[in-house]
Amino acid sequence: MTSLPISIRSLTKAHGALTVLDGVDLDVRSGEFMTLLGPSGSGKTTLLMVIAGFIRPSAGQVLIGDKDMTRVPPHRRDLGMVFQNYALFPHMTVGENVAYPLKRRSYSKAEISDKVKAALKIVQLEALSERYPSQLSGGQKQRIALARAVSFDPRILLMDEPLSALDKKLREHMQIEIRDLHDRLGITTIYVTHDQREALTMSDRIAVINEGRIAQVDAPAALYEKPKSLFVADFIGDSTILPLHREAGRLMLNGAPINPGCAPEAIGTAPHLVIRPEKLELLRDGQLPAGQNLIEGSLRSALFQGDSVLVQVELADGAVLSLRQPGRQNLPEPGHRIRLGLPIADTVVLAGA
Amino acid sequence: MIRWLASPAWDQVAHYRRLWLYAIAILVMIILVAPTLIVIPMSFSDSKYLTFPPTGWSLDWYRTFFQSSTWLMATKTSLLVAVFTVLVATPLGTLAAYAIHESRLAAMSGVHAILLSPMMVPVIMVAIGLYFIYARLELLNTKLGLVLAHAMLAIPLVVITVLAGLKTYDMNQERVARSLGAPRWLAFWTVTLPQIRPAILNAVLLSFLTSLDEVNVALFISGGDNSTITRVMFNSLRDEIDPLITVVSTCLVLVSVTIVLVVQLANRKSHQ
Repeated sequence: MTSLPISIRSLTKAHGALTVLDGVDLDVRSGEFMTLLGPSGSGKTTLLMVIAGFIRPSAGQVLIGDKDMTRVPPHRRDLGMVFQNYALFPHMTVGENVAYPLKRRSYSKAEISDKVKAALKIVQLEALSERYPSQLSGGQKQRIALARAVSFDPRILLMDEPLSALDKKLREHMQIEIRDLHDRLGITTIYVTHDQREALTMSDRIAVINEGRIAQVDAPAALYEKPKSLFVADFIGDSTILPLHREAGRLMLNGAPINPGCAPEAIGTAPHLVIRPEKLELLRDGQLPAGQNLIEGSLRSALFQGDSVLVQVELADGAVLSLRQPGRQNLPEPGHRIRLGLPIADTVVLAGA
Repeated sequence: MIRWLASPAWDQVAHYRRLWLYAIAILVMIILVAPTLIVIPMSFSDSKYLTFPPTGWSLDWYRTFFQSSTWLMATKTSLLVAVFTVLVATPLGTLAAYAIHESRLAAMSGVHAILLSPMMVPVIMVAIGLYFIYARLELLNTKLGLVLAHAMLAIPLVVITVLAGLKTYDMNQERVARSLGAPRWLAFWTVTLPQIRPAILNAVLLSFLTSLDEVNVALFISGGDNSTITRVMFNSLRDEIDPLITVVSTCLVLVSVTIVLVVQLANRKSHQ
């Protein structure tokens, strides 16, 4: 199967005064797993529907391969789609569901039967071909919806929050299964979710969307470690965001200098410090390893969370930041002074809006 | 019986505690079917006049009915008009309901209101209006005129019924079908239609019965060879009151009940 790249060029969609998509540019590489991540109402689903052909953009282009698909109707775009609520056809058996796209194409009966078997084999549900969707569990329905979307060897796979109806355990299992399916088929995939953890787990790259614009496109690790805006820093992962002050060309947090790891002048107005809970290190009195920023405060609480302890630290100005510790060792009593080290390499300072 | 009264219904309340509820339910059902139940025995009367209960039994009036060309012709007209009303109103009303359900045009709520307007105007006003328009278009006393008028009365019912059916249907299914390679009409035909079939069958039933039972409009715009059975019944009630009218009523009830049963059977089948 040859999968194709997708190129989205200055795509805009407006409903009257409301701009849902505002000049979106995005290039999805051939065979890539790209996730569109954003809060609800950010325009991510609208973008997916434009790519699928259900919504006509006000301006801009959608290119699949090197062909302009902007005005091609959905049924001629040759893409597989999986919806949030599975959207299996309840009046057809599992086999008939999976055969539906094949019947729309010029395959012989024997070919259809072979391809249905192959698709059901991919999701390991060959035995369920005669069942009706109402007789399946949530996870099975999801797999059948997947099998139906890939049975006809589409060049692109689109998924709109396909796991949001499943419980947590099954969802995590299906994340791995979908990623695995993508790797085996090598199919260009665009996946929409509002769950940042899901996006980090599954994607080659993530496009973070906010208010109809793309905030950042990057690989999961880059997005997490080096967010380019406060929105992305806040949306991806847990973080504490603290405003910094400028004093004599230096950045200060409660009177203590913070080394941002770059020239302070390079950072725009209203600088903010972004702290990930797992990057902070508990320091003993008087100790300050080289290459670390020092943050001081008092211990407010230590919450046992199973795999780790979530420690809340109150700073001099009343702001609270959290860090993760493997256990309660070395922790002072609540109310006592606590010293934290933040490696300069992990220090992220971003301009505020 | 006593054991049943003491036994709990599904939610643990014993049956005898809700006897009052059963009594009301039975009373309501009796009131609903009583007129029909009275008419049927009267049609087998041997009397020359409408009497209840009949003094003697005979099939005389059925013989009269089936030998009268006026009645038979009116029956044929009514059935034919009802069938064509269904054929016109159901597809049009279904397409309109689909458009109202799917379209995001602001004007669509206006279209919705216009489509339901025949239900809001008193039928007698509709009839008078139709009479003047049909007089100009030379559609008076024609089957075509009757079909169009009845379709107008039936379309709101179809729209309401099919819209209700679409509300419980997940339109994403049609979208999936389209993304999988079906043009829109085919996606509608193979995926949407089978699932709103119960609603459409109910719409067929309502259109048919609307046309068959309709008397106001028929009084104004039907006549001569194209009189509907309701119109002929109305005329004969005005001239003389004999048991023939109960024969006609019984036949109409029979047709209606048959159609309701057929639709319910078809719906039960599509549920499985």
